[in-house]
Amino acid sequence: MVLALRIAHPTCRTDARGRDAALVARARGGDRHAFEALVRAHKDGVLNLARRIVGDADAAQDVAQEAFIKAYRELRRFRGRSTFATWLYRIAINEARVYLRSQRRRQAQWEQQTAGQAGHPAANERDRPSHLLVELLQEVPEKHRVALALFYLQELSLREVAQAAGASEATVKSWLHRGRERLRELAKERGLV
Amino acid sequence: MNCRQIRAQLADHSAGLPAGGDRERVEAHLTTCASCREHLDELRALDRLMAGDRVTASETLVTRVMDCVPPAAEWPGPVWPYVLDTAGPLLAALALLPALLWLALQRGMTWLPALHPLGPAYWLGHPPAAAAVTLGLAAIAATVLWLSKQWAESLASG
Repeated sequence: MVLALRIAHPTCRTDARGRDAALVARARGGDRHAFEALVRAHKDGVLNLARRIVGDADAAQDVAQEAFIKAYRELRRFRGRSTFATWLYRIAINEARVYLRSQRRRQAQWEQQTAGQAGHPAANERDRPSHLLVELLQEVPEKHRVALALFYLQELSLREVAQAAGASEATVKSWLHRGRERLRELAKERGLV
Repeated sequence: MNCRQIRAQLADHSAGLPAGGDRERVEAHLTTCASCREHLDELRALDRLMAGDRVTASETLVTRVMDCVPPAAEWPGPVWPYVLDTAGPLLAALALLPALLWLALQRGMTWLPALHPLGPAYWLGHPPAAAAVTLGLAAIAATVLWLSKQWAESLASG
């Protein structure tokens, strides 16, 4: 029985890194077309990462946009110690966390204002997760969710996931383990697996 | 190994993550344990679902980003992060030295005048003290440098 499910494509990854490095060098020189090419190359990855962390499609668009703009501003400080994708994902994770914090604050304010009022708040369409799987992810603790979101991009090695998540490989492995187990339980409860 | 231990390894193996333990023993266990096989199937089904649940970013995202990116003429943007990254740690280390001297004077340390460039004879006559002070200052400078770089890195990553 073959156990490994995740298939790495080292050749593709090396090609992508070479392409990114060349584009980053050009973008640093002020070439907007090179930066646009970087945005096109990573827009799906950043959007999927943001969507899985924040759980809302529209908010994920905003987070992805902010992440790219911040990456452009900080491009000069990118030293190439990690891959551009890892560095960009780390920025996207920080932006997603900023969004989640502001969401929690808004939620707390809303609850304070409506305390004692009858009725249950109608869920805002914008705040509703767009997909059942993404909704399940929202029930996993944030750290585990970040690790899972990176893991399910299927582009990164464990080391890169750890770099993007800002934790050690052992810690991220533990987050992935617990996160997947929780997600499996939730998916089983909903009859998805 | 019991089912609990097997499942811990199973999760890593199935995800393609480095796992401890004996892969063959895990596979042998799977041939005899229906419950663990079911667990593995569920993990695989979950991974397939999650891997398939991807959205494609529209062209609008690219347009929105590029609309906010300043034209080439405005590059390189704010200069302060670059300055902080290069000169900041050095300045921080240099700034610390007068502070230490001032602190030493405040505490009435009589050996301090020997730090003056006109008093190298003191250091030549006390090599262990000279070595200790040099090492101490180097350690302080290295620590400040390292902390500044850590700070700069954290700023760079968001």
